[in-house]
Amino acid sequence: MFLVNLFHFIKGYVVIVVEGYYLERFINICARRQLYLWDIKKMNGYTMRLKISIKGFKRLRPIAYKTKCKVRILTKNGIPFILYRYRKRKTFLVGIFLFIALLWYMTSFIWVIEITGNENISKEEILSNLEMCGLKVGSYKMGVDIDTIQDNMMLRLNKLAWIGIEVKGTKAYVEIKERRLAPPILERHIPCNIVAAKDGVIKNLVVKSGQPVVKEGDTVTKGQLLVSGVLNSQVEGVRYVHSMGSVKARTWYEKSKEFKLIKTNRIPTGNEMKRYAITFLGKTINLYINSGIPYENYDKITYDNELRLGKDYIIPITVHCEQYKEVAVEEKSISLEQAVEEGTQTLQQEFLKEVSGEIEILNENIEHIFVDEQTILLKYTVECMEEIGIQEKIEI
Amino acid sequence: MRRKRKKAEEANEKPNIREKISKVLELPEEIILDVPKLQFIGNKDLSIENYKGIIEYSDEIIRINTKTHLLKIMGHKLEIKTITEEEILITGDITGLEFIA
Repeated sequence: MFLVNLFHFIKGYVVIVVEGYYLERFINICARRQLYLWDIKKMNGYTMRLKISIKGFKRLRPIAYKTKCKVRILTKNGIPFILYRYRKRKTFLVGIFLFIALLWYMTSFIWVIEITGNENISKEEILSNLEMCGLKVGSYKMGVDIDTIQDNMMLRLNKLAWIGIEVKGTKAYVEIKERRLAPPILERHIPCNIVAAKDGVIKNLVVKSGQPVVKEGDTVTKGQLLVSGVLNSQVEGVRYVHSMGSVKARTWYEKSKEFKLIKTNRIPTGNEMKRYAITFLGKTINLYINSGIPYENYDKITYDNELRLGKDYIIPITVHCEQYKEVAVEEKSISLEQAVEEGTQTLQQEFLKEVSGEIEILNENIEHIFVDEQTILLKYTVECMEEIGIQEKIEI
Repeated sequence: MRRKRKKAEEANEKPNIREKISKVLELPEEIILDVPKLQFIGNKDLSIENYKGIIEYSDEIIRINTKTHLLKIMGHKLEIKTITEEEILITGDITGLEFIA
């Protein structure tokens, strides 16, 4: 029904009131002459209201005459009438075209670059490289040659395994797949030693080539020689070999941090205020006068709304909304056990983030000391088993 | 001549033969038989195809002439939504429909 109404609105129609005694005949004749009528409403015995297209209305006169009905226009609706009303307002027309042209112009640039898939490469690095290849915020859409940019990016960034650029509307979607870099491997013919990467106690020593200089149970420090690539035999003299082998050792890690026995809860009171600002081409216009915030404690939430047409057409005007929510700060003391438990969890998570590669946790230990009445110092020690040997080239 | 007579005969037995034709050929009956086709949607919408004309139109009663019957539609707040040469669409609270031969 909406579509039909829209069609009528575009074509234009008039609402008319017909008065007379032969209204049924009037309708019949209209139908027979293929005049389309709709929404026919009988007001009383001799008047009715109906809608008719502009074209149909022009052919109504003979019918009205024949059936001795009086026809009166109630309202005129639709685009043709609107256009007629504004036919003399040239500037208005110019304004409309200007608006469309401006919109067209504005949407023919790339205003947003969205990067997905990067883990180790920073966004800034990708953006700066993209800019050098010719894709940046504000570049003309038609001038962007995606294929060449993709090729150049692959050449520029070694860490990229794949890059896909898609321009949709005013948005450029950059999808990235990172290459997992292989660890630097020394060639088999280059002589090398194996040294310790970390402090630890050697648990397991498997040497495939080279001369071991430590044995199981030895304590080694970082940088200490474990397997020597220099072989010195009385028969053959000094020989250099490429040492290979695995050195597994127990290592220890320690992390400590202070934790409070007080937990602060922020409870929103329900009071809030909002401030708006508009950014256009890098300039910010504040839509508020006084900058004071009447709350003592508050949470600030910032939203950025880009004006957009549909999903992908973004107009470079941003509406910032700062929302301040008043909170009441409530302090609650927690038990020692709870503090220790929570602290342990955070320390464990931090530790797991720091270590990399294959690591086997053998033992964990947590201790706490009171710093003052409200603060404890947690000490988290982990005993691990891991590979500590790394190859080091022998400089001859 | 003969052909003419044949046509006349056909005209005499019109309902029968036409009905048969529509049954055999599985054609829509309303086209062959020239009877109105009525379609209700609940009691709110009624579309009538193959009608001849409106006889009476008011809020409560609409009478429509068709080839075979006179239709009397009763209800409240009746309104002719659209009307074209082939079809008429009536909306409102329809309470009754009567076929008057």
